Amino acid sequence: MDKHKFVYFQLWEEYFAIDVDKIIEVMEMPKMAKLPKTPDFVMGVTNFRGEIIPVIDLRKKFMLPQEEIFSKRKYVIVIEYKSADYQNKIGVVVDRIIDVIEVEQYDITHFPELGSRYNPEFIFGVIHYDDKFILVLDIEKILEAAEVEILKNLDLTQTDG
Amino acid sequence: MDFDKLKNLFIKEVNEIIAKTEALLLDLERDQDNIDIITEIYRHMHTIKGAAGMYGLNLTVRIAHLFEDVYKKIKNSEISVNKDIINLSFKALDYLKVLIKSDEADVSQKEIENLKNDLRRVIDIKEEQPPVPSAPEAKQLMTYYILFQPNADIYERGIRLTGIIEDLEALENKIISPFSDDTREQQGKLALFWQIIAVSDDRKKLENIFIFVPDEVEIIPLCEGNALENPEFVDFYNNLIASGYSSDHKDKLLSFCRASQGEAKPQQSDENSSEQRKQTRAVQTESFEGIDSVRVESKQLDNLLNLVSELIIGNSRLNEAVKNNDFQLIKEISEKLFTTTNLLKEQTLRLRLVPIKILFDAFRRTVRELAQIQGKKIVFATEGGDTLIDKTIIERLYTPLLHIIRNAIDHGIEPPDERVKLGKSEEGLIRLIAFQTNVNIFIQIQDDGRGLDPDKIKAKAIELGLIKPGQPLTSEEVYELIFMPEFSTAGKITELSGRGMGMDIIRKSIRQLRGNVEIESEKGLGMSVTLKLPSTLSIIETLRVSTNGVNFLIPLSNILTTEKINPFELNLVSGSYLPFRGELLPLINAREFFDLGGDQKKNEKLIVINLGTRKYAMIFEQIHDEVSAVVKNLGKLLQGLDYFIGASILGDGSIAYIIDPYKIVRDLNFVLKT
Repeated sequence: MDKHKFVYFQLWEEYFAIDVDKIIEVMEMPKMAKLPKTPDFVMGVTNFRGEIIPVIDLRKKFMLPQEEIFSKRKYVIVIEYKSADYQNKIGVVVDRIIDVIEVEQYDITHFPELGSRYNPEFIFGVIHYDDKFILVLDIEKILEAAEVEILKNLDLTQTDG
Repeated sequence: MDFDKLKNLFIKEVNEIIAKTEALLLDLERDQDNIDIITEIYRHMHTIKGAAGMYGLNLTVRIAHLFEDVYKKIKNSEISVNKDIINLSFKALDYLKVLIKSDEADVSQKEIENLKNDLRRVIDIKEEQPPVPSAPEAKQLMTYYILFQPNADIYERGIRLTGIIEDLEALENKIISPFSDDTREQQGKLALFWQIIAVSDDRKKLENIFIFVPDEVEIIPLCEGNALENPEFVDFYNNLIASGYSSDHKDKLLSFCRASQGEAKPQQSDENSSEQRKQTRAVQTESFEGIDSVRVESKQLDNLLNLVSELIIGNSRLNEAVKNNDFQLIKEISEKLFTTTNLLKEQTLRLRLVPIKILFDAFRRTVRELAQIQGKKIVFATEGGDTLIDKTIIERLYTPLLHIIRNAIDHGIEPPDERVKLGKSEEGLIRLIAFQTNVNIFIQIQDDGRGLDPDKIKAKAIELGLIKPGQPLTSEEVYELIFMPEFSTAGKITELSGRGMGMDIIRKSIRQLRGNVEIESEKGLGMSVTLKLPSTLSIIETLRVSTNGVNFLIPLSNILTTEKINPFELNLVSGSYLPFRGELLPLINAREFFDLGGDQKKNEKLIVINLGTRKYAMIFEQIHDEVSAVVKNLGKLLQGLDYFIGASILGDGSIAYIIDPYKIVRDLNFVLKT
C-alpha cells in the first residue's frame, strides 16, 4: 500500500537514498561560484532556473574520505525543503546516481544508533536492497544542522577579524 | 469558486471606498461646510449599500443606508456637520470594515443595534425602514436536524451522492450518522440513508447542499445556538442512535432541546466577546493591511504582452539562425533580444510601484486619534503622495514611519497652552513629504515642536557611558547618539512611544531596505527625520569588482571614489587606518576579509565607501564594469551571511555577491568609541 520512491546514490563507498518527493531535479555538476566565509562543506552557490541556490558537499559534511573513486563526473540533486515558514531549495553533490527504487514503508528499518560514523539524527532509516544497505537521509535535519554550522562559522570569522 | 473571486473583488473595492471615505471625513473635519466632500461621502455610502446588497450583506446594507441618510440630510442642509457626526461616522466606518472583512460574522447584534440607534438619533428617524424588504433576520447559529433518504433511483437521475456527502463533511459542526434500510438492501437497491445534526448560521446553506434532491430531505431546526457544544446533547444523541434508526428520534431531540434551552444563558458570553472585539478593533485601526493587489493600467499590460511576443519571435529567429550557422544574424538578434529583455525588466519592475499616498492616508487617521488622546492640536499635511515606490518597501515602511510620527506627536509637538506661551500657533504641524531623485526616494517627517536638545542628549550619553565628559562633538555626531540602542531623551516611558521602537530599531529596519535615516533639528523650532530609500528593492546600480575570480557588486550610491593602489606601499596608521585626502579611513582588504585566497598583486584597486556619516576603504584586485543588478535572495540557509544584500546573476550566467556596505563595517569600531 504505502510505497515510497527513493533516488538511490553513492558517496565514496557508501549508499544513500533521498525521498523523490523532496527532489526537484537531478543534474550534472553545474557552474558554481565560491561563497566566502562559509564552512568547508558549502561548495558555493549556483544558478538554478534563475534562482540562486547554495550547493553543499555531503562527503565533506559526513567527513567521508575525499579520494575520488569515480571518474570526475559528479551530480547535484536539487532538493526543496520546508522550514518554519518558507520553501528553500538547495543542491547536494553526490558521486553517482544509481537508480530510483520503490520501497514499501515497512521495508525501511530502524537505523542502529550505536557505532555509526553518522549522526543517527540524520538517518531516517535503512533499506536493505540489492544486497546493499542504503541509508535513507533525513535531509531536512541535515540542512537544519548545516544552517547552524554556517552561522557558527560566521561568528568565528567575525571574532577573528 | 467564481463567486468567491467576485466576492474578494467586492471586498477589495469596498475597502478602497472605505479608505477614501475615511480620508474625506478627515478633510470634512477641517472644512465642515464643504458640500463637495459631503456629496462625495454620500455617494460612496450609496455605492457600498448597493454592492453589499448584491452579496446579501444585510447588516452592511443597513448601516450604509443610515450612514447615507445622515449625509443626505446634511446635503439638504437639514442638519449640519458637527464633531459628534464626524466621530460617529468614523465609528460606523470601523464597523463597516469589520462587517465586510468577517462576512458579517464578527459583530454582535447588540453592537449593531447601538450603532444604528446612534445613527438614527442623528437623523431623527423613529422607525426603522428596512432598505431591503425581504431581508431575513440577522444570522444566528442554529442546530438543525436533517434526515436524508435518497430514492433508489438517485444514480439514474445523474446525482452524485458522494458530492452531497462531501458537502456535509465540509460543514464545521456536524454529526453524520449513516443507516441502512434492510428491506431495500435485500432487494439489492440503494439502501443507505443519513441522519445528520448540523450547526449553521443559515438554513439556506444547508438547503443548498440538497438542492437537487429537495424531496428526499427533511431539515428541521432543533435548537438555537450550537447544541454540539453541549456534551449532554451529544450523549443524548449518541444513546439514541446506538440502537439504530427510529422515526421518533426527531421528536425526542426536539423535546430535549426545548428542555435544555430554558437553562441556557447566551447573553453573558455574547457581551464578553463583544468586549474583546472592541479591543481588537482598536488595534485594527493601527495596522496597515499591506498590499495584496496592484492596479495596473491596461496600457501597461499591452506593452508587456508586446514585449513578450517580441521575445518569442526573437527566440524562434535565433533558433533558425543557429540552425543555419549564420553568425552575423545571431549577433544581430542577440542585440535585439538584449534591448527587449531590458525593456521587459523595466516594465515588469514598474508594475510593482504604487503611489505612497496609500501609506500617507493610513497615517492621517492615526495622527488624529493620537492627538486627541494627548490633548494636542495637530495639523497633518502630506506632500508628494504621488511618488511611486516599490510595494514591498511601502509595506515595510509602515511601522518605522508610525513610530517616527508617534515620537513627533508624543515628544515633539507641545501641548496647546505651551505653544501659545512660546509664541507658536496653537496647532502643531506635522508634515509628511515624499520626493524622488534619480535613484533614491526621500521621505521626510517634519514637525514644528520642541526639536532635539543637544545638551540633554550629551548629558544622557555621558550618563550611559557612551561618550566622555568634555568630548567635542559635531551636531551630526550628537544626533548619531540617539541611534544608539535604548537611548531616549524622554525621562519617562509613555504609553504611546516609550515602549515602541527606539531610533536604533527604526534605523535598522530602514537599513534592511537598503536605506538610511538622517536627522536635522533646531532646538525649539522642530525636527525633521529623513528616510532615504532606494526607489526599487529589486534592482541596484552597482560596480562590479573582483578578487581572485570571485565577483562582488558594490552599490554605486555608496561609492565615493575609486583609485589605483599598491597594497605593498601603504603607509597605514595604527595598523589599519589609511590616510586619504586628509582623513583617516578604516581599511578593509577584501582578500583577507572574505578569505578569498590568491596572492596580493602590486596593482590593486581602492574603493572608498561613503555611508553618509562614515567612510571607509576597501581593496579589491580588479574593477570591471557597472552592472544594474537584479537582486536575488541567497535563501534561508545562507541568511546568516549578511555581508551580502543578496546575489545577482551576471550576463554570462555566473554569480556575483552584492555587498552590503553597512554590514561590512559592523564590527569596525564606531568612531565615537575610539
